[in-house]
Parts: sequence; C-alpha cells; structure tokens
Amino acid sequence: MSEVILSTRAVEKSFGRTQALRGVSLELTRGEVLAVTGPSGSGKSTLLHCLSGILRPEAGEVRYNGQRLDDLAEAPRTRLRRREFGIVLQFGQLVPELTVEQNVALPLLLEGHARSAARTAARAWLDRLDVGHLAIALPGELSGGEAQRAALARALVTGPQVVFADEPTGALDTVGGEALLDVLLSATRERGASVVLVTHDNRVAAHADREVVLVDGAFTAAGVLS
Amino acid sequence: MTRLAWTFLRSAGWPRAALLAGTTAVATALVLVALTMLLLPSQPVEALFSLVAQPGLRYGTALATALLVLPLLLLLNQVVRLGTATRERRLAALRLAGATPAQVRRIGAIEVGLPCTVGAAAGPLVFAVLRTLLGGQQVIPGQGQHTVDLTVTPPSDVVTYSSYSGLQLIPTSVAPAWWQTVAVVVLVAAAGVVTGALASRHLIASPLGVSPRARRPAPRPRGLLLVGTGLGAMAVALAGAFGLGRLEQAVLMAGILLVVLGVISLGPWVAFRSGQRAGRRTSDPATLIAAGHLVSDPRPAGRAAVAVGVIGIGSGVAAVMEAGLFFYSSSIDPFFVTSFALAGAALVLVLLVTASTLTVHAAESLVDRRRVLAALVAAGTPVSVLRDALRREAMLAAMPLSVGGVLIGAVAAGAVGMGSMSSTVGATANLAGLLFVCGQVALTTGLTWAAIRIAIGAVAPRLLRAAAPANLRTE
Amino acid sequence: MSVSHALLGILAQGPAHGYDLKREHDSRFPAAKPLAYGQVYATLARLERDGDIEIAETAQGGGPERTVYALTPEGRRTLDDWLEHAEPAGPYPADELVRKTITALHLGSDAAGLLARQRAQHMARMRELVSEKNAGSDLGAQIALDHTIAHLDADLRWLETAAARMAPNGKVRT
Repeated sequence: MSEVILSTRAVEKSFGRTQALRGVSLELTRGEVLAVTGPSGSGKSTLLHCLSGILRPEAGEVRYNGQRLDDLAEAPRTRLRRREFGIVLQFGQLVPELTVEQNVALPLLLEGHARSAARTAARAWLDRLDVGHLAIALPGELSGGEAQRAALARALVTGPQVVFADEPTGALDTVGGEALLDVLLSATRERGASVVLVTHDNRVAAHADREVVLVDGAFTAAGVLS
Repeated sequence: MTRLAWTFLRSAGWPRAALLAGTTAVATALVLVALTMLLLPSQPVEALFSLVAQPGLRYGTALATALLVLPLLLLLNQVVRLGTATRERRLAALRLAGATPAQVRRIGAIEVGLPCTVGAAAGPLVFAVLRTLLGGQQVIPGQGQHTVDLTVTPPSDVVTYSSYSGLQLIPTSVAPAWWQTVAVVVLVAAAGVVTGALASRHLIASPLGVSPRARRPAPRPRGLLLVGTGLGAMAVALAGAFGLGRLEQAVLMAGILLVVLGVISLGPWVAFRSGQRAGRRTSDPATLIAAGHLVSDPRPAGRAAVAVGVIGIGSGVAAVMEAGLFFYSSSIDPFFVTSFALAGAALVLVLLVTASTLTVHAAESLVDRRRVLAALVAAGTPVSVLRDALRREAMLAAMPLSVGGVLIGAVAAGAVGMGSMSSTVGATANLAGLLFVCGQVALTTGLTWAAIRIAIGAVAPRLLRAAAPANLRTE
Repeated sequence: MSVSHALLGILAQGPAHGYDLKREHDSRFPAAKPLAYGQVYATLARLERDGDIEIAETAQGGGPERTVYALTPEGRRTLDDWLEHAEPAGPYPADELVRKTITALHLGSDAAGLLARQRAQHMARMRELVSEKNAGSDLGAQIALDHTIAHLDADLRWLETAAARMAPNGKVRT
C-alpha cells in the first residue's frame, strides 16, 4: 500500500455565486499519476489550485504529508509550493523579459541560492529536457513545445514531490503533446514524484495510472486502478 | 465615428477623463500665469512678491512656472496611455473590422482630445481662482509699502524691503488679452488632441496589434547631445559672447530649455542601462525581474521617471542658489528664504505629481502582465517579491535621473552664479558650497525614494488583483 | 444478439406490434440497416420461446402482424442484465455499444451509471494501449496503435456528448 502524499476532504470553493467545487475528496499516493478529467467549466483547474495551495477552499481540508495545507498563511504556503510542488500550465507562464535560463533559475534564486549555482542547476535541467541550446533565448522566440519544456524545467528545478500540470499539452499538436507528456512522466518517475494531470483530452488522460472525473464540481466516477 | 469615440470614452470611465481634464486645466492655468507675469510693465503698479515684481527675476519665475507644466504633461502622457492593452485590442479589432488608419487615428484623437479640450477651456477659470487666492494687491501711489531696487540681480546682492505682505504671486493689474487666452486654450487643447492621435500611432500600422516576439532596439543616448548643447550655449553666453541684457538672458533660457529637454529624452536610455547593469550581477529575484522588465521595454518606465530628472535639475539650481545665499551674502534676506520656501513647496508638489505618474505607470504595466504575474505566484513567488520588483524597477529608472538632474542643475546654476559673483570667496566657502550641494543631492534622492515607495504602495492592491489565480484561466 | 436486446428495450416502454417495433427500432438507430420484417418476427418468436416476451393480445384474424407483444419479468431481467454490463472496448464497428447506450438513454434508468462504467472500460483499454506504445519501438506498430487509440477516443467523446444531451432527469432531451 503506497503512502498517501496529498489528500483533500470535502473541499468546497465558490466564486461569487458560482460554486466551483461541491465537496471533493481524493487521495494521491506517492509516485502516482492521477488524471483529473471532465467537461470545461467543471472545476478541474479550481481543484488543482486548491490541491497546490494556490487557492484556499471555503470548507474542507487539504493535507500534504499529513500537514494541513489550506490553513497556512500566504507566506509559508508560497514557500511550500515553491519547494515541494511544481506547476506547469497550458501557456504564458514564463516571464517574457527574462531569458529561458533566468526563468528556470528563478525558484532557486527565491530560495536564496547564489546566481552561479542557480544558473548551473537551470542549465542542467534544460539539457536534460533537450532545450539546453535555448538557454539565453527569450520565451517569445521559442516554439510551443520548447516553451513547455522550459516551463517544465522550471517546475522541476527545486526537486518537487508533486507536479501539477493544467492542460500542459493543450496548445500543442498531437505528436508534440505526446513528446512533452513522455518527458514529463519520465522525469517525474525518475524522482518518484507524483503527478496531478488536469486535462479534457482522453488520450492524455490515458497516460495516467488513474482517472477521476469531475462534473459540475463533484466527482462522478473513479477510474480503475491498473 | 464620433459616436463610437464617445462610447469608448464613456466605457473607459470617468476617472481617466476627469484626470485628463483636470491636468489640462491646471496646465492651461499655469501657462496663463506665466504669460501674465511676462505682460507686466517694468514698474508694476501693484504690490507683488519680488520674484515677480523685479524684471530681472521675473523671466526666471515665468520660465519656472511654465516649466512646472512639464511634470503635468508627463502625468498627462501617462494617463493617456492608461489602459493601453485594452485600447490596443479594441483598436486592433476595429482595424480588422475594416477601419482605416485615419479613422482609428480620429477615434484616438477624440478619446483624448475631448477631455483635454474641456480641461483647457476650464483653464481660465482655474487661473481666475488662483488669481483670487494668490493675486497681487493694488498699491495706492504715495503710500509706499516698499522700495524696489531695480538694478539688482540675484543672488549675490542683498535687497532690502520694508515689508511685503502675504503671497502675492500672480499679477492682477494686468491680464492676458482675450485673444491671448483663447490662443493658450487652443494650443493646450491641440496638444492634447495630438497626444491622443499619436498614442495609437503604432497600431495604425498593423491590425494585428503589437506582439513583442523579437527584442526591440535599445534606446540611444541622443539626449546627451541636447544636454551638451544646452550647457555649451550657457557657457558661451556667460562668457559674454552675447553681451549683457536680453540676448544673453534669452540664450541662457534657451540653454536651460535644451538641458531640460535633453534630460527628458534621456529617460529611456538611463532606464535601459540601469536595468542592464543591475540584471547582470544580481542574485536577488526581485531585482532580476525588475531589470528584465526594464531592459525589454525601457521607454514607459523611462518616460515616467523623467519627471524626477526635471525635479533634480530644479533642486540642483536651488541648491547652488541657497549656497550662494548662505555663504556669499552678508545677511539673510526674508525674500530669498521665502522664495526658496516657495521653490521647495513647488518641488514637493511636483514630487507628488511624480508619485502619481509612477503609480499610473506601474498600474498600467500590471494590467499588461497579469497572466505572467499570476503564473509566478502559482510557481511559488511571494507577492512581496513582485512588489519589490515594481519598486526596484522605479528606483532603477528614477534614481540615476534624480542624482544626475541635481548635478546638472547645480553645475548649470553654479556656472551662472560664478559669472555674476565676485571672486573674493575663499576655499572654505567653496567647500561648504560643495557640501551643501551634496546635501541637496541626498535630500532630493531621499524624497524620490519616498515618492516611489508611496507610489508603489498605492499600487499594491492592483498587484494583488493582477496576481490572483483567476488570471491563470486557461479555458 | 443485440437486436433482440434492443427490441426488449423498446418493449420495456410498453407493449407493441411487430410493425411498431420495427419502426421504432429503425427510428432509434438510423445508422444501422433497417430491419427486415422477417428478421423482426423471427427474433420475436425466439424471444417468446425463451420466455422474455409474451403475447399480450391477438387481434381478430390472427397472424403475427396483428399480435401485440409484452415484456415479461424474466425479459426485464435479461434486459437489465445486458444494460448492467459494459461493452468491451474495441475499434470494430460498435453497433452493440451504440444500441446499448441509446437503449439505456431511452429507458432513463441509471444511464449515467452505464456511461460511467463504459468510460472506465474504454479508459482501461486505452491505458493498456498507451503502455504498449511506450514499451514498443516499431514505428508501424506505434501507428497501428495510434489508430486504435484514436477510435477509442472517438467512442469516448461520443459517450460524453451523449451524456451531455441527457436531460437532468435521465431521459433523452426532446
């Protein structure tokens, strides 16, 4: 039985009068790849934001390694997110005015590492993901797939335990998307990290170990453990 | 087309239009004040503060008043660019729908021109109010209130006054002719319209809007040429090439104007170089983000920080004149003290305007970068780091201009002062003068630092909104 | 045979003539070949023999065209049993899948459950295929697997659309 690394219990979240999450409970075990699927507007992104501590739910609790995540103040929550989690979005997440290398090094700089050490680590990750040759380019000069790899490098640079990916292949074509997914899953598998993969694409979801389907803010069916 | 522009104007909200109108009104009023001062005969028939009463000082005061308009114009420029992202999208959509460049220009002109015209028309009203509050008093001949020594040129000689009552700055015995007032109003309004048309200039070219994929060319330090020319002209004038009198004064004024314009146009270059240097060696994430943003697009930050440079110049001039007052005069004249108090008050006011300009610029850049900021927060960047980045960006752009402005102003005023000063001053007095100027530099940069902190503090709520997870929306 | 199950599904909504059954079947499954009357009556005869349906009434003059058939409790059990179990996921013509899904939607009962079970089935198969792709390196095999995966994806998306068209009470929206 794998240990549970991240869990939620009866989480609720509303925006104004719209209730995005209506009592969601789930568990993520160490090393597991979980797909969160469902129609658009079903609250998948909101669930991801609550799981990763970006948002605080109005009700219910979120636990990481047994500790409550949702009742932490903003500063410790941000710190935890930076160290333990990695986030990859669909697009637009790199700072356009910084080079790729500077973008990837940023989390390490925030942790207090010196510039040269951060640069070296950033380069190493960029090389691992086959975009090392783009280190001094600006994000605007990269193709979609290259930018996503750079974003992935930034997500992995602090050695996270959980990687959250919100439609990471959404802006890519089929082959490019598969390549990115392969590299994401192999990098996380190497380190034993878990992955929460939000997607509306069944073929992407098929790369996960397990799927949960979110409709109108609640789960309808849990997938089968393979 | 006009109806469309009217709709856009309404949708942009009253605050922007009101700010435009207000700034224009005050600017118009100030120009009218300067004009009125220049219309005074050499012997005014009313009791006025000596800065205005004496013909020698008058031109300087009129110029200073007119120069006060500059920071206002800079603020106006910033406000015009408020909501650029939304406006760009809107205008680009219009272009896609088939509007010609001329039509788009017209819409832009009306959007800005209308509030500016309203403001300019209200200018004379503001002028009248200012006159009532700060106007000169009619003097009854024979009841000599004070003696005016017209052969005096500051700052080296002492002038004694028996009394002067209150702040009488704006002449009431003369007024601009109706056609002069109309001319000023029309000019200021026209300036507003032109600014509006120009603000959407780059959009006219392509209906697809601007997409910053490639690096934009770095700004060049062309302003240095202007500054050099201005200082050179002043040096030549002071060396006596144009004799004494009106021509010399005119050349000096022109020189000052060139220097000021030069400093203004140097804004983007200073911001760019400052950002470049800071970003190269830093391990601090806030500085890195600030430097990167500055280097990629130094123009907006540079423009916003230029007001600081203008203040710097004024402050430098004041420093030298104060030094002259304290160390080279035999007694302290209340006239000078009040003058400098006035100048100080004007500087503080302008500093507030600068803080507003910086706030507007920061708010503007936040709207454009919403998704990036939200993504940074999602990745684990504290909002405090983002706020520090905003602050640092303003500092990197403004501080060099502040220090540079003070130094340039001090050098210019020192040169002018040297020219009309006796050479019996000792070395210690010179050193003291130097220390005085250093003190002024410290004071000005301190005030600039405070202004930036205030400005970014005012923008903090917007930063929180911009960095909110709602801006991460992918669907 | 799925035609017999489809007929049971129609009879679950009320007794009917053979003629009505054929018409309803053809209208429900417009993509399938229209049923021949001979096939209908042969299927009905078999169902009666197996006890899934019974004759409710016979019109004057007899003959299979005038007979009204009705579902028996045993027939109901056969039908529910069929609906209970998800179809195996395959790229071959999914007649059975389509018939089952549409029948379930018309009946309304636990259609959501069927769709969820069917999705789980398909997703499990897709996961297997993805693993196979990752394991192998032969380009031809990869492309073949891509084809299967694409068709499974198409079925899944169709299931989602079908679910979306359902009215909140589970019945088909009209």
